[in-house]
Amino acid sequence: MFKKIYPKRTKVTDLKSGGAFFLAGELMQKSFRRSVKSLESVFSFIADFFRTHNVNDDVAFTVKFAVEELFTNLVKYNPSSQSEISLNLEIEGRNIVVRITDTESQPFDPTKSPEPDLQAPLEKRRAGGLGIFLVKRMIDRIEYHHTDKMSTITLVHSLEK
Amino acid sequence: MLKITVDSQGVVHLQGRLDASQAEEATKALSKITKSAVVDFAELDYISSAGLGVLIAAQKRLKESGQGLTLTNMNNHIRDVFRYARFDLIFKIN
Repeated sequence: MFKKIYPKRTKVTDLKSGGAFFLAGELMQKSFRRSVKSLESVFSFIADFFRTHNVNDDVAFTVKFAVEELFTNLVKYNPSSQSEISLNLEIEGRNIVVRITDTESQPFDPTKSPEPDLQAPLEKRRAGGLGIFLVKRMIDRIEYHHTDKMSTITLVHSLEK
Repeated sequence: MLKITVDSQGVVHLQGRLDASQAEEATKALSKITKSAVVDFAELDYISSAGLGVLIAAQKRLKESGQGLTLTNMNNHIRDVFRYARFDLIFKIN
């Protein structure tokens, strides 16, 4: 089911203030306040990881896009909670793996969300549902797990785009 | 961050990132446009669905009076997002 976040052989070393962790140079983890205002720090956290691992621009854009859509969705559906949303970034083989964890969320499976009507005339087009649709279109693999108020969304995307 | 400026020709220039944290500001800036206009994406690095929502709302409002936005100079990533969302059906994209 869940892959362990910290492999036993890896020593955890805090290299940054603000709770960001590098693990053996391959995994970074940080928690963010539940607000769209956190996006700037989310993006800068992701950019640090991309720089470390020489992630190309195409993959970087796609991953940033997916993280924003899923993060803002979690904020939107439970804005009053004080709990933070955690983000893990990891290189596994030739893939980047992103795990977004929310310990206070209602079940919402993005992999099963309905498709928006893309052919609708302008007056009927709306942005709702578009973000998740685009994430599914752009990211190689998305997994969703919900148990006891905790949602974990895992994104797996090839680095070789 | 996002910066929106209008030049002397009436061309709207987007610069930076149009994400959910900038959507409110962008809505405010685009609400000042009342006639057909070109929106230049040359210096826009990134857009998310929140940004698409801002543009849809502006286009709907303008179309009611027979006006509309023409989008130009998108980078490849943003162009892909617009293509996947089929925004080519609702905007003129150069």
